[in-house]
Amino acid sequence: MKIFVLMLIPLFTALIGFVSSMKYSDARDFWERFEFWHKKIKSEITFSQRSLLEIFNGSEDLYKNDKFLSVAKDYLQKGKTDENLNFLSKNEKEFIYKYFQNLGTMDRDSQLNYLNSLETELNKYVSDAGQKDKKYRPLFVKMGFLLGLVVFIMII
Amino acid sequence: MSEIRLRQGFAVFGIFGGEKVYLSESGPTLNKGDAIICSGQDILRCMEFATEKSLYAFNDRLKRGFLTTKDGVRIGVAGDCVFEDDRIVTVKNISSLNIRIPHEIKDCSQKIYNKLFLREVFNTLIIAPPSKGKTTILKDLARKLNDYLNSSILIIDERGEFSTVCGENIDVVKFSNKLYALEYSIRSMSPQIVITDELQSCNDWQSAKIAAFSGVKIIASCHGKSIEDLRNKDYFIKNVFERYIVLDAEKSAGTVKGFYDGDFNEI
Repeated sequence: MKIFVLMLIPLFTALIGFVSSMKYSDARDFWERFEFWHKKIKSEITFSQRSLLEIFNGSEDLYKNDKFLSVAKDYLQKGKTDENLNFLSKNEKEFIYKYFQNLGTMDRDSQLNYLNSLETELNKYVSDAGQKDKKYRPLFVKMGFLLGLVVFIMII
Repeated sequence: MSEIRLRQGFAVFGIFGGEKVYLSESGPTLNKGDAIICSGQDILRCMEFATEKSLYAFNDRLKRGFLTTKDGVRIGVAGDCVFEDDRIVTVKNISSLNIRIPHEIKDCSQKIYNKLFLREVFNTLIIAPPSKGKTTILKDLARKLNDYLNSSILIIDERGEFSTVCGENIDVVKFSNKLYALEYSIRSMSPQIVITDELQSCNDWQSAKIAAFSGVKIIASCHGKSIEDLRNKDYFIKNVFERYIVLDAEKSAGTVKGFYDGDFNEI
């Protein structure tokens, strides 16, 4: 019986590793949504010319629990966000601030040029977040499991 | 309050009941010293609010010197015009705003309606200087014609100022120039009455002529103080309108000074 209980230790520590790695998946999700919305905003500016709030409000039902959507609406309405973005680095947060600071403040051509100019940096964040998630999530789980295994062996 | 003026570096004021009133942090004041001084940031914030932080969506109107909010508030802008190949691309460094607050005065056109539209609808032109109630009268007239006549009404709303006017007989074409809107709408919407604001160019008068000679009744407005002002305009075309209404430039907005027939005889 004792052995079975002790065997739960590696599973528990693996779970801790998984939870600790969630910031990487949160960051990946966030940047993927950012990239999606960036393309959508560009397309809307080019073709429909709807206002940003119309674009975001009209998509609320379709994209529930989309963190980027909440961040975008916060920036448009308050100039800052109350969302918890702890999974992002300082540089990433600065980029988001820079992105929204000039969004909607220019004529159509300048706005599209501005968004295009930020694309390289955005693509880098998307790719980095994807790579980090791919690299660290399994690593954290494995490390957690191994740590639990060591504890298990030591106790035995 | 009919309008608010913001000029960068100067006191903010509005027109309240025809009088100039300064705006202080605690409200309207006659004391210039208490007035808020408008900064560049104030103008930027105002533009962001008016455009819902989506200036790109208003660029076509901005190029024509104004933008109109969802609620029909027209904001005139002045700043640096940017040209490319002799065509205006945008306006930047905006330094002045003229916020025109739309008015809804119920029955303000009753006198005009009773005098001119009770038996039949005439091609009618309302003549008045800016801010003398032309648009307000046209809006009320549109509602009356919608309520009392079973005619199809087309409103050509070049500046988005008629956004509060709607009805079962009313179609609205927004933000299009008059000539284009009229050419395609006469074919597609078959209006019996066309209402439009501010005829101020050859094209506008041509469009009025097209409407009048297509068997459509047109009700429009034009800047001017008198019939003489109108006749002196280069682009004025006689025989388009059967009735002229001159609003009093000296008295309060919407006061009718005189009614005239197509030959400019007072009626």
